[in-house]
Amino acid sequence: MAQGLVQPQWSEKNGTVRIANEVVGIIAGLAATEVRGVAGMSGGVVDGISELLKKKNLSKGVRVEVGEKEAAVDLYVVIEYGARIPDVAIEIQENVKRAIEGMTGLKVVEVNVHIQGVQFQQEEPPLEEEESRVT
Amino acid sequence: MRTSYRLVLIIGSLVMLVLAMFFLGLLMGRDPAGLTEVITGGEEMNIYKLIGFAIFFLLFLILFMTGLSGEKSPRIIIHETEMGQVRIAVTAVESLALRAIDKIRGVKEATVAVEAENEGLRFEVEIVSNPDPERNLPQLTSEIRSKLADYIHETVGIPVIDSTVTVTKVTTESRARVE
Repeated sequence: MAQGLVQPQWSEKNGTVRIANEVVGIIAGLAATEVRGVAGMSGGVVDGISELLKKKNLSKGVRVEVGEKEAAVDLYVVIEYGARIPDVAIEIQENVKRAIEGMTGLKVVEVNVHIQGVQFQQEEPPLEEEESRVT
Repeated sequence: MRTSYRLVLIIGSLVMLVLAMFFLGLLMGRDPAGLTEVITGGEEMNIYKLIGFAIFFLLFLILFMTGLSGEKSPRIIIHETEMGQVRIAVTAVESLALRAIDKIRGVKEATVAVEAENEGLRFEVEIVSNPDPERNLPQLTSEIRSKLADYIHETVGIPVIDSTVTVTKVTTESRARVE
């Protein structure tokens, strides 16, 4: 993702405000994971190495392309078993777009959602009630 | 990231650390492990040289092959939406289908293969069945096809255009209740 590059965003009276690509990535990652039905983000090799080096990678599974006024995002997600994929994907797109536009002022032109897998929760075997031997 | 890659990277980085410490030691005029003796030593040191060669060469081979192989591009199903694309890995659809089929009474084991086409998805299912006195095999396969189509359309949002169910074996062994 982010590569640590910074892009000029807008000029204020007293100087220029710049937002790092990684910041946009973190915003997108957090917005995606708060959607109901998302089990987590699915990172690639680079994310795996960075996770080895630091504690938590908040932009794991997020690729962003940031221009001066626009941004495009790719999200690699794992969804929870039982969730309806089209609904979850559309909600991710809307939530990520809203979060980035609201926090950075960038126009989000594209949010691509990549469903990488499904997480099944461990099902516990049903407890069998023992019949009482006495009444 | 696969665990094997992590392991190779961790071992590789540890070897690099040992080498770095060795050179740092040489720089400081020390050689606590006596490694220079191994390098400059005569034939009696050949066994150590051979072990060193084997370890480094193996590490080189693994890292080199890891670098060359790369990840195979995953098969995906693409949905276009107003805000971009939704790309679903076929493996995710397969695991969902497998879960749906596994829950059907009379199915002991199942394997699923999915093919994405423009009109929808095509499934090939192979099952090992438990005999069920209340239902015959055509009824079972029909139930699998119908449940699979409904479940996939509901969950993934893509119609199932065709599904083939093959019963590869009928067994009386009951399904394990725990993993």
